[in-house]
Amino acid sequence: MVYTNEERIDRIWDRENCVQLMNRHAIYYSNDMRRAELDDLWVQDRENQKTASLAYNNGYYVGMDAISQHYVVEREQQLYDRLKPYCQADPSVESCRENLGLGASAMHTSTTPLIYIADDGKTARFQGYQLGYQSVGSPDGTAESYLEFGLVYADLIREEGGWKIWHLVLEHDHTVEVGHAYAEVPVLRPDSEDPIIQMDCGTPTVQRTVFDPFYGWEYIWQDMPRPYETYRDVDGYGPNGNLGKPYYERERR
Amino acid sequence: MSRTLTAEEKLSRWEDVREIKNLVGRMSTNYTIKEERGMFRSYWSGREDVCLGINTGYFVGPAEVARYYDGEEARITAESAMIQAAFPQELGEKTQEEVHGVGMMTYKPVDTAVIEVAGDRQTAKGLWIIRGSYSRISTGGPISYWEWSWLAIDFVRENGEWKIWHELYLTEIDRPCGGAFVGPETAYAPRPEFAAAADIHMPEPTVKQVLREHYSATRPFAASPRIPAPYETFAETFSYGCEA
Repeated sequence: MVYTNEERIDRIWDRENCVQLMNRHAIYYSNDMRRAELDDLWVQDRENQKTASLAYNNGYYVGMDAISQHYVVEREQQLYDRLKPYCQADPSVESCRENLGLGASAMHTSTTPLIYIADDGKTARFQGYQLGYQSVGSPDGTAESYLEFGLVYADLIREEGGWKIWHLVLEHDHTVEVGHAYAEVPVLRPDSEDPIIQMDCGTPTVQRTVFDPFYGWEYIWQDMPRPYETYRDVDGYGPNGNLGKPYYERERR
Repeated sequence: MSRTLTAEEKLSRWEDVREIKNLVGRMSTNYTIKEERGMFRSYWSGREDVCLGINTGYFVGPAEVARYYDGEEARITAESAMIQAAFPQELGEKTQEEVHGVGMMTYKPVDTAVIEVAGDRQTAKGLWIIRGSYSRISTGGPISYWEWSWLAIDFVRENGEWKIWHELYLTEIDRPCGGAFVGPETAYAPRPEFAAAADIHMPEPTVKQVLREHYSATRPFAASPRIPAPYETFAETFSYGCEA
């Protein structure tokens, strides 16, 4: 594809905006600003909202209603549940929105972005690393803190208000409990025993393996973004895409 | 700022963002090579209302911000001297400059940048995460820490260059490597060669104010500094500076 100088500038600028969009996602996510994230950073076009998706290792939440129910409503309930022991330990601590997150901390980075803008300029594909931690406290002053490592994939789409998140995949690869040696971390740990997966992923509407920490790295080569002309579902990071599928389940090109 | 930008405007803004990223990248390198002493002169604005905020308050004005960096340099000098004394065979003959920063490790990589350049291109705002590690000397000897921090900066254009106007450097996690994020730190038995560590004190902020408590299991949730949003002129946005 040959571009004019003006088109090249547009694409340089688009790439920068896509990086910053995903960086904003990481900061909103760190801040637990989940409702605001859906309003500010995700697709607003009604047709795009119908096909928007949020995926974890265990499947896809599809459509903004399902995403919102999991990402915002269920999360808020989780935060209320975590507040209960504090309220029981100290009756002066109210179970109210202002106290949500008491004793908790999280920081999620977004690094090493790999981005291609489609030749038609309408969509972009993103891969990055999310290296972070989350910590949940207890009223006795202790905390469970986990370092987490994973890849992030996204299809971004251009709307009237700029670039927006359309399909987001938060893969979780590796959990290390802070204060414990690597040697103590189980080498093979099923998702059902991984504390981060248990905390974050819930029960997606479309359940299938999107990332398998045992050998999911095999597919990264196939799934990472490459130059492309226009968006196709099968290459995308939504529920109709190939992400994480073994080769024998993939559509042949 | 939602107006459509021309190609020339996009390119100019992209160059602004690149320059700002490079400035912060150079700052990060200053920490790595223990050249904190050059940071105020190299990166800060010449304005009278510059301001640096850390967890315990603000350093307000150029003399005070410079005093903060002087404190950092004094610590490096004192720690270098202790390391030199502890290793007389390897370091005993070296000059003070030659041992400056010896044995120290400070990595403060910055990532997750969100940068907004004002519509008038006279100011800009940026927010980063620092996911780092550094060492410092206690009376029990050198200890390595891991660090998670927020870095939020207002930039101002001066003589065609971007400079730091207001900076917030707020640490969330500042704990010994390998240890828990909460609870008491391991107390190591004092070692005479590091007794002088007890005399190292960082300067107190001009305006003492808790800008951020370090994470604990009983602290209310603390979000990042405000996230930059598009703006036309600095008058219509918030400041990372001291409002007092």
